[in-house]
Amino acid sequence: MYLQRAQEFFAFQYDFVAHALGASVLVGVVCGLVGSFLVLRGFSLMGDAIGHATLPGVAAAFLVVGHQHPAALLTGALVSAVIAAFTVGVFSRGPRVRSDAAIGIVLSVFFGIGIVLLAFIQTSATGMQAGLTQFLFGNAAAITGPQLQVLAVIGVVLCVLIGLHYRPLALLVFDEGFARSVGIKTTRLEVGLLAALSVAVVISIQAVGVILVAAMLIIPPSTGRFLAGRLPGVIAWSMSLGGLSGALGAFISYVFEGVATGPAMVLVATAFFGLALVFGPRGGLVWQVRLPGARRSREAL
Amino acid sequence: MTVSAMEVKGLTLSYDDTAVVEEVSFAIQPGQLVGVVGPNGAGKSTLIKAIVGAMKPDAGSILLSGDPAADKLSALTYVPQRGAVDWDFPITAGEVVRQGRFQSVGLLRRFAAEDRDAVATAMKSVAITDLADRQIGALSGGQQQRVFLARALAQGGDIFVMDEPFAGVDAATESAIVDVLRALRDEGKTVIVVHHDLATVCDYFDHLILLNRKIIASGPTREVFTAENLRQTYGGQVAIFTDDGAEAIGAG
Repeated sequence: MYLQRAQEFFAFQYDFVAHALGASVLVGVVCGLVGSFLVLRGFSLMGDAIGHATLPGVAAAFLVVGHQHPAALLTGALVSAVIAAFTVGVFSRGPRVRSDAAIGIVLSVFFGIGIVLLAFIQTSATGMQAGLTQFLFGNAAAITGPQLQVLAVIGVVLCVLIGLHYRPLALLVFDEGFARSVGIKTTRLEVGLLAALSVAVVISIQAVGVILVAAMLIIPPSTGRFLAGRLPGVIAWSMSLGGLSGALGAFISYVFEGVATGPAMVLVATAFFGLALVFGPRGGLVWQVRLPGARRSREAL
Repeated sequence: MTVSAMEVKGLTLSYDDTAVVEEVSFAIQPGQLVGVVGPNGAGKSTLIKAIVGAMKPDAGSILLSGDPAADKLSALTYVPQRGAVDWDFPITAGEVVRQGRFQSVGLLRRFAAEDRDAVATAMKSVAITDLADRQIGALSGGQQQRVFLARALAQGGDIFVMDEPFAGVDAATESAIVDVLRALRDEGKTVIVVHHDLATVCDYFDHLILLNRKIIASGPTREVFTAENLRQTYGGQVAIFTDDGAEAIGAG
């Protein structure tokens, strides 16, 4: 039976299979790119906060519009993502709240509000068929052709914008003080990076869900660091393994009915991470055990 | 009267409403090797950050050759503290040096022959040419510092500002760096160095700035480097070593 469904998947009999595949690959590639800068900047958890923070926006937009209008829901998601990012910034500015605490506060409060709104919607008459819970774990198969086109255009524009700013972004994440000394407006650039993060999260949540979108931002770049020694290589690995995880995740989610796309993608991405962690040429565990030099230095400590 | 290479007037800098540097004023003539010396927490790095435009002053101004520093950022070249960056970052020594050209090359333009030459010359002058493809994390402390210096040389500029370039480097690297700084000075550049080792101050610097949140003294090293000034700077908790041997200052 699984074999039969696998054959169906590759035959692309149904449009929704192609859409699911496209949307999942898009998520992997875009998050792989944005996530690379995020992880290297030490902002990984910001992706987690912004992912969770989109939920109240989705729910509020549904309450306002009254039905599942994709553009409205994603606009709501973007608004609450931006508010969340801004709030983290304000909280962590003072001396009392460190940024990890600020991120924790914002993540849980926004997600809590989202869950309450969701429960409220579920009990209302129209809410029963709303299917908003699919935003929690992602359902790539629900994405229509026209929706996918819009998401793809946004994703491509985002990638191009990041590509245009590659040099300043690379300087920002490596050496902020030096970046400022050569006239780069680092505050503006950082706001831009967070905006890019918010957009990447918003175009991803339908396929991967608000809870696990952070994984697609963090895991592929972390995998890439074990595979390449230079930033362009890390980004290339991150984007390709992100895309591949998306594709395999969509496939698994189709073959095993009931498995949401999000968790499937994340498990595939994690499998790649595990392989890289052990066998990766840049600091993989296997090489550390074998190299006598590495063992000596550990004994010296 | 010649225009100062750098003139700092009434500069106050603070983090979270706590002033770290208060009403600092000094002037530096062109073609000098300048040491900035003071205890930990004296605001040396903060002052350096403000000079290179990485931090906004609460009050005061910084003039470079008579113009506001903000308008002349390209004349300034910054060498951050080695601890300021993540040395596990996925980047090679050669790529770090290439960053020195980003300002003139811009967002997207490819490196021209002139840019590649500047990078190659810079790496050669601090003897790291053969390390170009090496991961920065695999370099020794001294080699890392040379990479930072090479990036600054590739960038060029009239005023070089360095935050503790001698911290944690071996003697060979220290003397190699000093040679490069002297060569820059002899070309007419101004070089400002945050420094910690009082024993080498007289040997290295033409001009000395003693800083402990305020300017204690600023002027030719021979005039400024006195027991009384050092006692004021360090609050009587320092032993200095002069040519005559060790001379303890204060009772600690």
